[in-house]
Amino acid sequence: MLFALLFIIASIIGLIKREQVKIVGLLSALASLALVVEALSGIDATYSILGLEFAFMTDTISRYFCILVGISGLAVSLYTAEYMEPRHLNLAAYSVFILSMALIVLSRDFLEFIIFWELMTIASYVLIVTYYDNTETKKASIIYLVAMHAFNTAPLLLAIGAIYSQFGTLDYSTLQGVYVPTWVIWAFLLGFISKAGIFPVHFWLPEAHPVAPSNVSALLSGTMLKMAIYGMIRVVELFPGSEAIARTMVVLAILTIAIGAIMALVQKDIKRLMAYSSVDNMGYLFLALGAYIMLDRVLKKIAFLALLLHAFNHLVFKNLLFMLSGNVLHATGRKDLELRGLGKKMPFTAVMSVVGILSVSAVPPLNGFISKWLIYQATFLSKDPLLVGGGVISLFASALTLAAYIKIYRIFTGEPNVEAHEAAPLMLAGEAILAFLCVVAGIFPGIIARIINVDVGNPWLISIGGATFNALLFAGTLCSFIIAAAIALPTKKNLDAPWTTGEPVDEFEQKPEHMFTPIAKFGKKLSFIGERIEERFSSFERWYSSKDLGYLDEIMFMPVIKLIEGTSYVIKELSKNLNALLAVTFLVLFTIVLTMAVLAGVI
Amino acid sequence: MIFELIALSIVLAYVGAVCFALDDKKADTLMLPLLWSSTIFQVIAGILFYSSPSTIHMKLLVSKSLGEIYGFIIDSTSIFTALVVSSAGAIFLTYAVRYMDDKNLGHPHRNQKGRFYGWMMIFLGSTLAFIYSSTILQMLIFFELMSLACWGVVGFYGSKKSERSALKALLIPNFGAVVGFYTAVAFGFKYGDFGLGFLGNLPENEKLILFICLMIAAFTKSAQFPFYSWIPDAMVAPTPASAFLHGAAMVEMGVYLLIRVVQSMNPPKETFYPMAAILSLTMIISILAYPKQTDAKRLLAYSTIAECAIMYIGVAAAVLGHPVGIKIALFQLMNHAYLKGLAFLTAGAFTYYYGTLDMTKIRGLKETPILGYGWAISLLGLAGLPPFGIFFSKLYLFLNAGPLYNSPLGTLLLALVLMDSVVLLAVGLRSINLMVFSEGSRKKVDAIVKGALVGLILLSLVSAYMGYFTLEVI
Amino acid sequence: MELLGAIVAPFLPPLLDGVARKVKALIQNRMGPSIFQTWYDIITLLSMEPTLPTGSLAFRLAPYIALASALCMAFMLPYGSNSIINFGGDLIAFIYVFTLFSAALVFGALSVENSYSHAGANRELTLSLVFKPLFTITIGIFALKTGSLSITQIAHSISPSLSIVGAYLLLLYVAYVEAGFIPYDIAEAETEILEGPLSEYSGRLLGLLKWALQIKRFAMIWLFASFVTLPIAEGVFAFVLQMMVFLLAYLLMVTYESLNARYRLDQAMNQGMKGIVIGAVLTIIAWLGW
Repeated sequence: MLFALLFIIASIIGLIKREQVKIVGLLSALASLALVVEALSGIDATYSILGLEFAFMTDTISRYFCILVGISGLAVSLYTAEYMEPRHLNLAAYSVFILSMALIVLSRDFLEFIIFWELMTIASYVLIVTYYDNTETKKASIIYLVAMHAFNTAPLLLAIGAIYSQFGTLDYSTLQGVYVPTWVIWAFLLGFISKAGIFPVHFWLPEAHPVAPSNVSALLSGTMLKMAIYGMIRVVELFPGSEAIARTMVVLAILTIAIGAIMALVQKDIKRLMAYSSVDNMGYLFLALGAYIMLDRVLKKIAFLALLLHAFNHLVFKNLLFMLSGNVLHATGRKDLELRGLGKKMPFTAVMSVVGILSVSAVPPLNGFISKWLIYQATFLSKDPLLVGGGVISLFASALTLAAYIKIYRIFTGEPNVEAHEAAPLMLAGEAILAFLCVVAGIFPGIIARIINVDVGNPWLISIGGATFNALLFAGTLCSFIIAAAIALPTKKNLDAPWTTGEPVDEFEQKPEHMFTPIAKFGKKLSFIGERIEERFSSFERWYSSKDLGYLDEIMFMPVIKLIEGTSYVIKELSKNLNALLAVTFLVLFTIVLTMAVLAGVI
Repeated sequence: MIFELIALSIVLAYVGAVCFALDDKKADTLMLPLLWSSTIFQVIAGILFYSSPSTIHMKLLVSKSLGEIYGFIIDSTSIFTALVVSSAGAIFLTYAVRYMDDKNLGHPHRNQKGRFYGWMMIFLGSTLAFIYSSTILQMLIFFELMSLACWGVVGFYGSKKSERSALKALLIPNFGAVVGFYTAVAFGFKYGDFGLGFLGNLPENEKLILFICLMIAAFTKSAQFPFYSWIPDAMVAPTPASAFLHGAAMVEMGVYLLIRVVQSMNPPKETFYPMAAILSLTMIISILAYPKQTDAKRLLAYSTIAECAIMYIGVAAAVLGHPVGIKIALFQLMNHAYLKGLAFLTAGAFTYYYGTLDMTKIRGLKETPILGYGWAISLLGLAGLPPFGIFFSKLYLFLNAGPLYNSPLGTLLLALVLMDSVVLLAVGLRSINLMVFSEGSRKKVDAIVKGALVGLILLSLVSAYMGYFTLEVI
Repeated sequence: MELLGAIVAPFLPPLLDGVARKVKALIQNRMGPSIFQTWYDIITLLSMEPTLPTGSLAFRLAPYIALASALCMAFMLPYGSNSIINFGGDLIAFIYVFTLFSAALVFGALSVENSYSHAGANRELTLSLVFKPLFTITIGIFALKTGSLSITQIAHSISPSLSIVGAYLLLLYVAYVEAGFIPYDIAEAETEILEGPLSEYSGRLLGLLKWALQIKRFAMIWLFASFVTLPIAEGVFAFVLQMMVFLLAYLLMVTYESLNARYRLDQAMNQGMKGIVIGAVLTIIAWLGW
């Protein structure tokens, strides 16, 4: 568990010396690399610290997710070393964040799971409020943490508590195959879909991811959301009876895919667009998971492979895209889609953006295509109309994604309208690792499948259930066509200006908000609904704050007090007359004696 | 040895009453050594106890007709609670050395330290004596002494509002004490035995009546529904007193009382229902009240009510026949004490440096890191976020709530606990955004205040671990 | 047999385009160009050096990628009984290679600062937003009925039923739209937006793009033809039948094209939406077993 030690050292350095971004970043990168290496050979460690016992072990799924966390940690930490601005505790929180995610995956029981899960949440909160001077950040941080606490922590605590109360243990191996009450599985579903950003608990995602610093957005979108998938897979694997939630999961996933893709189309802010795109992709993951539960035999295997491959692919390209948006933000100070002409000064960023955009849109031969292809296999061949509908919506969303990301490509073309410069080499290095993986995973997907021990025949292809996709051959064919054409018919560089029939280009330039108008109308309607809900909420809050609740108990006993006060006033008046005073005193004494007698009698 | 140390620590606390007659400087020089030696003795007693845990029951005054009248029970429950009370009290009173001086912007004090320390030391001594009590009569006496000390500090500033609040703070718990303890003493007279042990020997219907009465006593002390309004009003007390009485010690003594009763009595299971009903209503009151508070201490007061309700949920689980419920309540008691103390002392720093407790007026805490972190950590910790203690005690509650999951009222309680933490988190975050993440001026924080706050932050980080060890939880 | 396809696919489409121009001319009562005219045009274009309005690499690479993906699309289709590139689930790959084609076109168009290119790219993508799902629904019906996603396998195992007939009609419609015939050639509108994405291309690059567009058109209609003929024929006979059905469909489409004017973008979208609704109904019918 060398990686854990390195992360802890990085975190302590971050706590004591708040300015040492480079050291913390590089240490975290080293630790992530150690995590990947250790996970590949398997981890099995038990620690007894001060009397508490912690056990960490990898099995097939957790090994895979460890490697995922390690890869993203490596790339993002290299990026962080140059990018992050240290503020309050965020440097320490950064290492704790990645470490807690690794430990969530390595836990062997639900107790460790929930403890590290909550640590991950609070570390992410500290990271999200890095730019706390911004009003949006403040608003987003409340929405994020409260939504997480209400819809994620609460159901998980209830579910885990119920499991422990009923079975007396939280250990995975003991709980394997045990029958838990159905409401527990529903609670787990609610908890994990909130963390993953599935409709209807998706609203926090487009608020929280854009306001965080770009390296944190990358980790949030790429890696943290995968923890929810990991948790759900774990629950589905442990407890039978998940068929009850499968249909609901698929329906919610389909809604998420549609909403995420349409909303992504109408955004004006790069990071918000990517956040909605993450929502969309998490929809794919849950669709695949639902298909995995609902189908069997060959299609089940296909769905499982689709799920895990898409987790890897989304992690890689989403991290890449967010880091690239960080490049743009760092260079220009802006993250809206009105930027133009950045390709001239930021060539590497432009090229890697093209790789990222093609991956997100699942264009072969990049990596996004393989997992989408597998999802379509699983859904279309399932003979279940819900899943087939899911497949259709997925393709629709795929087209929408391409359309949305083309808007981002647009910022690299044309004439520059801001000052820009290329990003620092360390930042580019982190991104290059991921871009390289996008291409490699697209051409050799079998390597990834090997890690999960799914039998895909020859490792150079993906051959599963009678369907074979020889990505290498395909990529080879494509490239040979391109090269053949390029050699046979080369182009020399004769530069000239574009001809726009004499009209000035900027006057008739197509603005991003006017692109794809017929579909964008739906997106605007959806965002309108979201705004109305928010408005209702804040007006309720204002009304409630203005109402004055009295003290309930004072309402009860004040009349009694007033009565006694009145009585004592009367007695005071009476006491001016001695006879009356004696009479009243006798009366009071008599009452006391009577009460005592009654009490004694009762007793 | 243990008994002598404990007795000595109680006596030292009472000696502090001499401070009433002293002026500021002399009061400081007398109170601090007394306080810390009392605490250190308590800690040493605790260490000795845990190195070889065994219950000690010392009978100090026994009468032939009425059995044991006065005695000490030293077992894991009492040592644990006494450690929390002592350690918290030591920090809070040391903080008071700075708070009660004349540089306090909100409440400049002149020569009032002696009076304050007098009341607080009486309170400390009474609480410790209450904790170790072995008979009903003894409990009653020290219960009333605690209430007296509470009246003394709540009415400390002498304004009309504080006098009214002080009266309320005296009468409401007193009413509860009359209902609960007088009934218990009456039973004691009837059966000729005051010891706690006899509670278990009562016939069932009498157990029911007595439990309900003592429950009322405990609930008025801990400001549960419907007797809750004395606590928000009692916030006119000086902040170290609020921290101690209403954060760490006095209201928790209601919980302690009920724990003792459940431990000795084994009450019938039907008592769960009225208890759970009252606790649910308490939590609903807190949830409804959180978003409306603009005064920092009143927000913390409502939070105390809810956290005590959580402790009582543990006791309720024990009533249903799940003895680990007692441990839940004690674990929560320890974790809550330090975090609530941190919250109150930070609020005290608001009064001291900003002159106001109005959360809408204080800005720019980020410029003074200790205050910014203190406030943020206390609010987030109270809502139940790790790595602070209350997360672990809430987790422990949910893991061990056993029979509560099978009863609809029990599940309602658990759901309300979660709802309470969500609403408190939302209000806390709003307050953090407004107060910490805004522009303001830097305040120079004194070493004592800083030390107290840092000490409490560290304690809240380790309290879960300490509690785990001493209670052998998990 | 497949090798025949390898020759037919790249070299037949320009000839067909010439035929289309001749038919259109005859309908419009003029002589029209010779049927080899498109070939002559392409060869001329390919021999000319292009003028580049921008130094962008994407602009220069786009036509090559478009040609390569169009060829890939064509090679995934069966000529006779089998196709050159053949694997399970290749129907999805077909759709996505199509997406690669659109993406290449769009990336190239957006790389140059010309409002017409941008407008064309926008229209291209907007159209695909509606018609790709329609294509998918059609495939979904076939997949539901035949239990496979491989082009050759579906083609061999289609059996007639109500939903399949409906699916054929939808496929014909989709092939028509994606082939870019007149009511739907909104993206490359010659008169409206100066050929849209193609407006800044010249010389060799323009030649490659035009060739790629024609190969794409060929591939879509050949897909339809394969689905119609392969269930009932084998081997060389199948190839001949495919060719005949293809030519018939092509001529019908060309005739229909000559009689129509171009749709506006929103009109085309409405048509597409209606198609999707019909497709959804057909899917339900297919699931119910008819």
